[in-house]
This record gives sequence, structure tokens and C-alpha cells, in this order.
Amino acid sequence: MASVRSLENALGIIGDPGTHDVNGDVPYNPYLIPDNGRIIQNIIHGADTVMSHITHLYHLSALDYINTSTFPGMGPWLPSYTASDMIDGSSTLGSALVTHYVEALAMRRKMHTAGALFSGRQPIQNAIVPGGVTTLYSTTYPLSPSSTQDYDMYGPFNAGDTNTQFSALLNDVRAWINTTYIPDVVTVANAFPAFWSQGVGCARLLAYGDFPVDSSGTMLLKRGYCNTLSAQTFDAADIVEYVDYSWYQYGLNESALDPYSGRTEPTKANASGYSWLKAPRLMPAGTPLVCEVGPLARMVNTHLRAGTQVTVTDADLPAAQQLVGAPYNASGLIAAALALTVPVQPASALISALGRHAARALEAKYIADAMALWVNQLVADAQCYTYKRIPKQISKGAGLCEAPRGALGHWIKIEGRKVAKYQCVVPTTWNGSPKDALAQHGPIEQALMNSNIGLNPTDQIVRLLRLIHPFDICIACAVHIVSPDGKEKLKFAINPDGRPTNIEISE
Amino acid sequence: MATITIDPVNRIEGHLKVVVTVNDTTGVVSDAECTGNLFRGFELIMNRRDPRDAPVICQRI
Amino acid sequence: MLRITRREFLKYCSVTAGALGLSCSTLMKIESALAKDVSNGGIPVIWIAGAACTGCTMSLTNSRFYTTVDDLLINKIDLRYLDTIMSTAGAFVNGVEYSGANAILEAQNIYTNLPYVLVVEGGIPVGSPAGTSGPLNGEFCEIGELVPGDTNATMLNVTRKFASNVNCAAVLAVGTCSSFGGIPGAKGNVTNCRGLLYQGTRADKGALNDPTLGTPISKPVINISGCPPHPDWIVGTIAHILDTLGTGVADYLAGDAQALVNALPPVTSYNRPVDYGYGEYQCNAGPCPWRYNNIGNRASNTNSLAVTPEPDYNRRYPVGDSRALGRNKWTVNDAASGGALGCLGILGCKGRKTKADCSRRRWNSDIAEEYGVNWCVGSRGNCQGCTEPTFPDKVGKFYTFR
Repeated sequence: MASVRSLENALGIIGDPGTHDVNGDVPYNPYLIPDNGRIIQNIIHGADTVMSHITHLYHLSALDYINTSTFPGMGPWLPSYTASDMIDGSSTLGSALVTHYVEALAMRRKMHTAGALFSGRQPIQNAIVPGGVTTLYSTTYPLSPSSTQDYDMYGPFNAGDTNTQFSALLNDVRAWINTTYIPDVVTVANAFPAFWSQGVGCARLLAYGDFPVDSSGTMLLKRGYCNTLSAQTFDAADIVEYVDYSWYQYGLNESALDPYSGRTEPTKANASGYSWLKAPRLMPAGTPLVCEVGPLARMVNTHLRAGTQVTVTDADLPAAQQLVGAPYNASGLIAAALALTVPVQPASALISALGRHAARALEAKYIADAMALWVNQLVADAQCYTYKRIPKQISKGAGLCEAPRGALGHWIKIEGRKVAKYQCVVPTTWNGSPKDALAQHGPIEQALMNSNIGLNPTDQIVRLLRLIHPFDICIACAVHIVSPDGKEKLKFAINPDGRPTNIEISE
Repeated sequence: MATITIDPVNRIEGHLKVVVTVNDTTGVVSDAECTGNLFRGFELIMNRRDPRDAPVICQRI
Repeated sequence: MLRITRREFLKYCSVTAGALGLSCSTLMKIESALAKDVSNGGIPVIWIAGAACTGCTMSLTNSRFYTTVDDLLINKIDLRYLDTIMSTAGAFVNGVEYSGANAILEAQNIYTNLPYVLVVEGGIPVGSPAGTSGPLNGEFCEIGELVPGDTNATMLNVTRKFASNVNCAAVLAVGTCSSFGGIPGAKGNVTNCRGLLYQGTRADKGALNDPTLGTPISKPVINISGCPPHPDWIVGTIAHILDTLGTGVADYLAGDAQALVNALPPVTSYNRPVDYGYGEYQCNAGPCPWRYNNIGNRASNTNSLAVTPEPDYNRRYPVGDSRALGRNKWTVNDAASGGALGCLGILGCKGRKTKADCSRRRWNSDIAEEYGVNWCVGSRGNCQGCTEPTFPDKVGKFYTFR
């Protein structure tokens, strides 16, 4: 999505100035993607996000809490940690969680199937293009099968069938989120309540926002950052990167990469370097700020924004199955979930290891329920795409979005109709970052520091994993290179009225 | 002080190593270093390509 | 809408089996293979990833047509190492390997004591970062000290050691990256990423067989390419091996590696299985609903598209108007008004150059033994040719318009 948005920006289809208003909404100017295109982009992106969240709790995190050493001869689940506080996988509770682990495999698969109804396939799809989607959402085709010798009998669906199939899959997953996913997070939280105060980290949460629900930049997930629970405003121009403790080299006298000039190359000769990740920081006023990104950042920033939160209704499911009655917004959802914990946790407790799991589950529900509304906003046979030619002149664009794991930005510069420069700052670079020039540790490092992991090595290892995993790490995305010949890395968008908007990038 | 190294960190995407220093009487972590252990060189791949190819390639990054 | 059932598919197969890239008799065999449980006698599998995006693993977890991933892992194979999902991580206490449950000890144990199949995902970077010593040390990617007594944790070293080890019977390259280098191996990069046997189309530049990297390692390698590959191609290949081995699994576990080698599926170009994905060009596999309406049918087309006559079928999708499609791109969504349908070759679809059967089996099935709900071209996006060794560089611009 970020790459597509950066192109949409460069082509003049979306103007994103990199700022936000007090409501956390984005003053897009212009916004030319047709409604169907915007909605289907949101649906495809949302389906992948919900799939990713389900996978994260069950298949990437649950085994931090469950001792699976009683599973006979089972592949990746042996050997298992046997820390004293773990839930026994063969106990009643443990067996239920393991059953849900297997159910979750089917549920995440269903979300990918649901997304693929619009996107063609998941993972990795080719339907989202700059300007909207390629997807045909038409009442006219395909024709009914007429005989046993039908050609292409098994082609894709038409609008009505797509909607029906999508809604059926989505509603299965929505019900399961309400009856299983969120309750399991509460169960684990109540069994390991110490982790409401472990893994706090930098307590500064950054979100670029995403899922525009209209053409005016009203976002389902708001843009902004906060210091603990105090909402703040930022500009994308405040983003910089340090390499003091990374395996890169800047030019002389360069520190916070204001990415215009300077030489940068990957090198392990940097003696203080210890990571291929760079250290992105937010620098609104001269001091670099360590920021965490991800579902926690999005849900808390959305919760804090003063203005109109996006309300989702949930008319399709019986009220008894729901976590909170419809209509609801992000703040109501958070309050309802925390009220189920023992003891009841305040919103500030969300900034913790368990808070990250909780926020991710709540966000999965928030997005899934919103998708149920969005799919019914589609208009069959209406336009899903708008075309803009790649211009001859130099053009630049920035795409800010929210990948499942956190705030993601891509910046592109086009010269002579070819890519002259491409940059990304991705979620795990923010979260997994090493120290910066002021020796401030990155979010994951800070989350580990000052946490109590016990004295016994088995406990220590397991507790470290319980603090690390909630960040939902993706290293492949997190590491990238700036041009080794030091060409400029700064991009700015050119609005259709010709004025550049300064957006600083770091990588 | 003891040092605990987790390498490779499991159940993530990609390659990560974490080294922590922990006080062996209190169990409190005093220092932590996160190491991303994979470098892929993406921006160079993008250079000189057609701009519409960017989303195709970037999805895999 | 009517979904294809197994019975209908087999009926359809019997009419047109010869023209299709899939062999129905093969599918029947697979279904019987997957009906067998081989728990506690399963073939150990070690799955390692290098310069990867984990898309191949995620695609595998969507498996449904032949069976689900939990059935595969619980009942069919013994996946002993895959850091993306296993319970334990690698760990050291004060610099010494943690002696309790420890993923890297598990890998080292299998390396030494068990016969296994190696699965490789992601490219293998062989280049040396600035500031390091040696010409091709692979230090851009370190995955853990998986080889007993060897602290060289690079993907390059671990892959070569695990593949050349006498306990390794065969290697499956899952994905275009480990088959051919793929996206991290694309032009312009400094990491010098390779597939196992190939770098792009070059057959002597793989991480296992390039002589400049060391003595070439000759183990059978099956390339299940795709970015990501369809889960059916992966599961189908595994099921073929298990079904062909049959009771020979026991022989294999007792040390007869040749038994497994003999069970590998037949391959076509670039070591890819004929029957699980790669036997036919994309346009013909389905066939694509918009085949036969492409303009610019050049003589240089390397598939049979230009010469196969139009079959006498009732189309559910009109052939379309490629010229209008080329003008409109995707701005027309009302299919009745024309210009929304037609062969996407005019916009850059690579189906004609791509060995893949997505147009037939489609993607993301949620129902056992039923084909998928859609595919890239079904949603009117271009086929990007992601199974080919020419992906992404030589496949060309993905969109042939500005």
C-alpha cells in the first residue's frame, strides 16, 4: 500500500502533506481515487491486516505461554520450554488454547481467502495499483454456466457473488474474534498479570494512520503520536535516521540523516555498529525522540484523538456474541476489553507486553467490523480506478500508511519516467532500532531494559521472548540501503498546484 | 551480571539477535541490544526501474 | 455460484486430460497418499530461510486443496526446524549454548543424527559487506549457529553444510528466491544473492554449485518457484514424494537416501515439478478466460498460444476488446459497456512467458478438494511471471504503459 500511495502522490492522485489535524485525520488535497477503488484497497489491506494479527497471537506468540512438551512427536512444537509458570499444554486450559491455535490457522486462511476475492490471491497481490484497483466489480459477468462444456467455468465471481462470499467468510472470522481471539487474550492476560507492567518501553507511540473512510481524509486509524497518554502532533518532515550504532557510514559531520546529502554505505567497519537496522527518530524540536509503532500506537492514538472517531456498527451478529454493543468506536472498544481483565486495567496499562497483544486483538475486531460496513458501500459497476500518466518532468511522492506491524512510509523520486530514488522507513526499523547518537536505545531494547526476567535461565529466556514477541517483528522489511554514492535521500511531494511539500526521509 | 543471548529469535519474520545483560541477584535487565541480522539492499534494486514496478517489487520487501 | 467439486473436476478431466497440464491420475494418487498418517515415522524436514520475506511460509499455511497445513505438519511430515513457528529459539547463557530446550541444539542434533530433507526459502546472499574480510563471505545474512561446532552462522555456510551433509537426501527450494535468486537477487543489489542452483537463468551460479564458492555440492534439488509459490505446488510435491515412497519411508529413515531421491517428482524446465504447477504456460493452463483475444501475437512467443485453434466453448466471459482495454486501462468497471475485458497482455501481463497453473487451480481455496476463489488475472491484475527465473529483472516492465 505504501508503495502504491507514494506513486499516487507522485502522480498527483493523492496529495498527502505529511501532517494531520487535531482529530488525527489527514488533509488530503486532492484525493482522486474513486470510492470503489478506495474501499476495495481498504478491504484488501484490512483483510491482510486481520490475517496477520490472528497469526501473530496464536502462531507467533502463544507458545511463549504454553508448555507443549507433552505433544508426542510433533515437529516444530518440540522441544518446548518448561518454565514453571507456563500453562501445561495438556491441561484443560492448555488444550483449549491449543485447539484455538489450530482453529486460528483456518481463520487466518479465511481472511486471506476473503481478501483474495477482491485481490486475486494472497499473499502478494497485483490488484492494488496507483489510482485504485484492477478488480472487476460488475453485475454483468460472468454469465451463468450453461452446459457441461462451459469454457472457463470456474472464473472469478461477479459483484453480488463476491459480496456474498466475502461477507460469509468475514462474518465467520468476526464471530470468532469475538468468541475466541479476544477472550483468549484476556485469558492469557489474567494468567500472567505481571506482564501488564513489564515491557513498557519508550512509551511514545507513533502512527501515520490509515484506512480513509471517505475522500476527505477521515481515517479509521488516526495519525499522530503520543507521550504515554498525551496526544501530540507531528509532521513527516520530522523523521530522521541515525547510523551511529548501525553497520553504515555517513559522511563527515553527519549524524541525524536529514536525507539530502551525505554518503551512506553499508559497512561492518563501523566499530560501534551492532545492527543492520538504522535508528529512525522523530525530531520535531531538535531532540531525537524514540518512537514505537504498531497496533498499540494506532489504537491508543485513535483513542486519544479529540474529534469524531469512526464509529462501526455491527448489525450482522447477535449482540450476545459481541464484545461491546454496536455502534462503538475505538475508545469504547478499549474500555470494554480492559473491563474484562482481573483486576480491571486502566488504559495506561496498555503500554506493556500484554497491552500490545490486547491492542492487536482489538484492532483486528475494529478493522474486521469496519470491513463488514465497507463491503456494503461498494457500488457495482462503478469505477474502481483512475488513470494518471507518469509525467515527463521530475516528480516525487510519499506514501504513508499502516502496515500490520506499524507505520510504514515509502518515498519515490521519478526522473525521466524511471525511479531515480526510492526509500522506505518501515515499522520494525522503528521498533527494533539500535541506539542513536545520544545513545538512546530503541523501543524493543527499552522494553527489555528495567524489566524483571527472573534468575533462572529458562525463566529468563521465556520472559525475554514474552517481551520481544508482542512487537511483531519483521526484519526483512526493516533493513534497506541508501544509495552508496550518497545521492540525496530526501523526497518531497509536489502538489498539483506545483508547491512542494517538504517530507524528510530517513532510511 | 549475566548475559543472555537469543539467536535466532524465533517466531518472528526475519533474522534477529537480542543480547541482554541481567543482574543476577535482582533479575532486572540493565542493558539490551537488538541486532537485525539480514541486509537486503532494496533501494539499489529499485533504481532505474519503471515506477509502476515499484509496488510489485516492494510487496516482497 | 457453483463451485467445482472433485467429481465434476474428474469428469472434466477425463474429457480434456490430454490438453491439460495436470494429470488426474496423479491427483488421485496424491489424495490416497495424504489419507495415510505417517506420524512418528515422518520424514524429518529442516526448513531454513535466508534473504526472505516469509511469503512462502505464509502461502504454505493457506494450504487447503490437498490438505491443511496442520494436517501436513502433524500427520504427514516431521518439521523439526522452522524458526518462524517453532516453540524454542536459539539461546546462549554467558556465551555458552543454553542446555535446555534450544532450537539450535535441535538443528545440530538432526544434522548429526537423522536423515532429513532440507527446505530452503529466500535467497542466499554470498557477497561480503564492506569492512569484512574475504571475497564471498555471505555476511549480509546470519541465521544462527545451526551447524554443530561451527560458529559461522551465515545463510551461505549453513545452507551449504546442511545440503552437503550425508544425512541430507534432497533439497526443496521453496520460492523463486531460493530457486533463482528472485527479488533480493535482482540487479543493482550489492548482496549478490543466489538461488540454490541458479542465479536467474544461469545454471552454474547457485549457492550450491558455483565453483567460486567452494566444491560444488551435488544433491538433488527441486525448485518450487513462485513469489510466493502456490501452497498446492509445495504440498503436491511433498505428497508425491510420500506417496511414491509408500512403505519405503521406513527404508529412508533407516538410511536409504536413494529411496527418497527415487521418489522425487518428475521435473521440467529449471528443475520445477511438471505436475505441480509448472507443466504448462499460464494462458493455457486454465485456460485463461480471456485467451485468444491478445493483439500483437508475435512469432517470438515461445508457447503454443499462437497455434492452438480456438476451442468450441461457451464463454462465461466475452473475449473482450484488447484495444479498448489498452486505452482504458482499468477505468471501465461496467463490463457491459465494453473495454473492461480482454487479454491483459496489452497492459503487460506475462502469462505467455510464465509456467504456472494459477489460471486452472486458482488461489486461496477455503474448501478441501475445491479450487481457489480467484487468481491474479481473475481480479484483472497482470500475471507478473513470478515463477520464472527471469523474475523480476528480465521479465521486463510489469506494466507496459506509462
